[in-house]
Amino acid sequence: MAPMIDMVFLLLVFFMTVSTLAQDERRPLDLAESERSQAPEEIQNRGTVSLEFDASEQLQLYLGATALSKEELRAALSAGLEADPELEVNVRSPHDMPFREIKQVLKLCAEVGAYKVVYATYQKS
Amino acid sequence: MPLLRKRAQDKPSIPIAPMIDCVFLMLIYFMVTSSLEKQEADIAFELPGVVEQSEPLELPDEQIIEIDAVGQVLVNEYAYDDPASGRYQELAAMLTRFREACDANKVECMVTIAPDEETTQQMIVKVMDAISFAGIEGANFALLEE
Repeated sequence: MAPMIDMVFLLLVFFMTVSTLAQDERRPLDLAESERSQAPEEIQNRGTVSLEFDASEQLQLYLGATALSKEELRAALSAGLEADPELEVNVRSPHDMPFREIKQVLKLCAEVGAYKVVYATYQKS
Repeated sequence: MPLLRKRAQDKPSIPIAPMIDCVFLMLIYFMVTSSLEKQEADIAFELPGVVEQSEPLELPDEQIIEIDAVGQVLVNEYAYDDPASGRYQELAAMLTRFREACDANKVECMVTIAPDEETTQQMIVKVMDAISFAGIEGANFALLEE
């Protein structure tokens, strides 16, 4: 009996740790699907920007899981680029987001000098 | 003596069976929740620089892909593919020929995506998939001021 309890506890602790680690700091979004996207190997030097419409249909930007304005995002990205010139911006937007909203974020990235931008997608099987 | 015997019987014991039930329940809960999250992947592109270039550049060959509000793809005023199709095969075939022509001429081939204001993210990603199918690596976005 005792070894079985040990095993079960071990498994329990493992899954508890894994499930809390997987909760990355980002907004849950319904991303677009792509056949050609690849899972990233390196996610160290990357900033995640999420676009979402709030309840009043206004665009809301998030860096990680924190909501911020366009100006705050600009400042945050500039600071991030200063700390790490290789900073990659991961743009996450829902599949039905119109380009006029995404364009604002892309423009902002280009203005602060973050030329490495990727779109987050789901992999189509 | 009777007192001593009573103490021996009172030896504390933990009820193990309900605890195992609990632990199993938690184990199954965490196993289920940990695999629920869908994995995300990337699709890459480059943004046009805003730095001015003083030296003359060897101009790469460029194609501009326009996408209208309903997802219709236009290259040089010619419409490719039905927006409803799951995969833009005509566009991918055209871009493959374009890349082969660029390779033959030893010039860099460049593709610029110019979506409409109302074009959705899913349509853009489909065009990026077609570009990737054609083996072109440098996709770009047109961020023009109105």
